Amino acid sequence: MKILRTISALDDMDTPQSRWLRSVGQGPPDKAASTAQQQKPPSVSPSAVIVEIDDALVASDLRTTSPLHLAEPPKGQGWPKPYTATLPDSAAQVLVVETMTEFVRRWNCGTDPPKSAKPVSGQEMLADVLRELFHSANDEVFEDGMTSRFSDALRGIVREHGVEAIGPIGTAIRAADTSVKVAEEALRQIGCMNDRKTHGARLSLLVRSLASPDIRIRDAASIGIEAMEDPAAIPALKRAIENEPTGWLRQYLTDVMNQLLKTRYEVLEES
Amino acid sequence: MKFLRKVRRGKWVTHPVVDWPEDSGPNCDALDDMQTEECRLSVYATADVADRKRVAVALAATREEISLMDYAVFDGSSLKSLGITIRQTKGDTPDRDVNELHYDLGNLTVKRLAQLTEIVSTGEHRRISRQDVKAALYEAARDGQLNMAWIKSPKMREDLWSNT
Repeated sequence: MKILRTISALDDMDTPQSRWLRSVGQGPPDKAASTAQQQKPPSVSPSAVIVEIDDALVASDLRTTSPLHLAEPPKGQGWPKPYTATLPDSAAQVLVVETMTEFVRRWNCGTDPPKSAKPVSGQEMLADVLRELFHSANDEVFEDGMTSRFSDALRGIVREHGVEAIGPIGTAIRAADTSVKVAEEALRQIGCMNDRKTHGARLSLLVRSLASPDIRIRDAASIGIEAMEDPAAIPALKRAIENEPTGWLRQYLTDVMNQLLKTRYEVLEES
Repeated sequence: MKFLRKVRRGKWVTHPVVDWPEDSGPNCDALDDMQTEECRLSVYATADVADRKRVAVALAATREEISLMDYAVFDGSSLKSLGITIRQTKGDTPDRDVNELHYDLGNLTVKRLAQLTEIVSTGEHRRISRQDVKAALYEAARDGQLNMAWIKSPKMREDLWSNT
């Protein structure tokens, strides 16, 4: 079985890594062309390259019943040399894409999504949008305190759809095909956004996530709860502290609860 | 010498889906926190707890929003024997003094990065809560520890201006 893997943007740097990646991207032996290309680095390089597709099972989540039709890579783009990918039931194909989302789009190129017999509801559409958003976020690297395409889009959805968005977001977070990395980021963002209308629903989603069997989800939920600064989470935090098996997370949950107790005390004092 | 590296603590826990041998190191998701550039990894030297806090606050000030800070402090004494170079370079934070503590760990190959990741994983992992980061940032801005003109995010700058 051969494996499909996207590789990152290659620039004109001449490092062992870039040489290695170029050699991977060059594809099947075409030594004269390969040498010429290596000597003349590209002025424009795609941010991702599908190196090889030899077994559609490898890309099972991208399988489609529609015939595969992939556009030719832009002409005049010296590098990477188009790679011949062999698929089980089709002729050799070549694909150079900018993003994984584009890969999926072009994989399905030429066929519209099947039309449903019944009209699609707003909630179903929202669920679809979220599924796509969560899936495409797999390629992103998240950092605390930094926005990302994913966080901007998620916050935009909450602002636009209000409380109605929180249920489908919870579903997307719990979906089996959502990576923990993305689910984690979603919970952090849910807590960090500033939106009064959805405050209760967001807090409720975070509190529920404290019971997750995955420590990373529990951690992200507790980070979100800290950011919301709402003493209403205190009873849930108490329960979470009692049940938390990991020492450092138990300590963090305790710190968050103590902060919220202080906040509640200050609010009571002021009133 | 001890070094500090900003991390996301949840990435360094044992991954539930991995068949985990007893003598194994950290899970490979931790590599997300070891992003290199031109085969170099950015770290800050820390002599004591005060240094750590100052570096953490300076790093927090490079962000777009106030957020909690997870970091790992690890021992750099074995790095040279692994072939990893240690070079002092200028940091890119709004704290002039912290910028002098910046080092690049270089000459990194995939193998050396894996070894370095194991070293980081055995270091001391700490978390500063968002509330404490916020208080420390306001204090640092008030005391002139942070050069406001060097804060890149307009949102962060505005937040610090309005609360100091």
